[in-house]
Amino acid sequence: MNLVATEWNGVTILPFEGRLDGNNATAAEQAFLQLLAEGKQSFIFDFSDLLYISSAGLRVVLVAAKKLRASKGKMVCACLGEQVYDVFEMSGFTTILEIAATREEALEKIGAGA
Amino acid sequence: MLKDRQYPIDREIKLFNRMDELERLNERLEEIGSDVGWTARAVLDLSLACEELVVNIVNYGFPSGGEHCIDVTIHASPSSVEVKIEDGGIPFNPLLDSDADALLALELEDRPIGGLGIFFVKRLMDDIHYEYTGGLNRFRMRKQFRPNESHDEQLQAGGNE
Repeated sequence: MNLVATEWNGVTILPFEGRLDGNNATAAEQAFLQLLAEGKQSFIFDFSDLLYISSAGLRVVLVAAKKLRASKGKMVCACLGEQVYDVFEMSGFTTILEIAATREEALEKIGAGA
Repeated sequence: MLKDRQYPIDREIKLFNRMDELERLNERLEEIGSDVGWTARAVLDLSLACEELVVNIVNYGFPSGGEHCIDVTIHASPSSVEVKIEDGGIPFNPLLDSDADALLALELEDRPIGGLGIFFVKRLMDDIHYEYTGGLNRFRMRKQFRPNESHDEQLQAGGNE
């Protein structure tokens, strides 16, 4: 997975692509932790191009959510595809995490709307 | 044989106990899905169930390390699949290992990291069976796809602008 973060109004947008699975979850987690170490505190996990997530992928999302909750940061998961949404729902993540249907809605929820 | 008619495709996928083998597992499942006519979504669901089991074996099956084989056998028909996963690692019944229902009610702060993999397998697959015989962990699961899961939704998707 090629994970290149972009910045918008002080929000770090992480566009996940393809598959977030046991094979690349560790790399994705490292990429997030690196950004956190750089002082980033507002994140949109943009899943527009993510086709598939497994429990190893959910682990990355949960680690990020816990870290940001502890540091009073913010995180919104946006644009979940069909399989990703179903896995979130099955896991109860749709009720414990902030979810947005679009990137715009995510920016609004995080308080950085245009 | 009747069995052959029920599952016209019969493929073996031999994996090593490494995470990067998930890529090959997925490619092979996509291949089978396209040969037998599953929807993209059915392939993803099957891929999830298989990944969770294989990841468990990779992580916990061989605590003393080394390269070992995980044998995945897929019996596939357009409307159903049977998956067998066998490994020679330490005896481990993944079905005894999950009480995920209790986790689901927890708030974010209290959620443990992990514990969902086998829960997904149970939710997605039917007729799940585990036994340890002949020095092997033998896991078997089946799935009967709903009728609309065995049609080709991609044809419809291709019709969009």
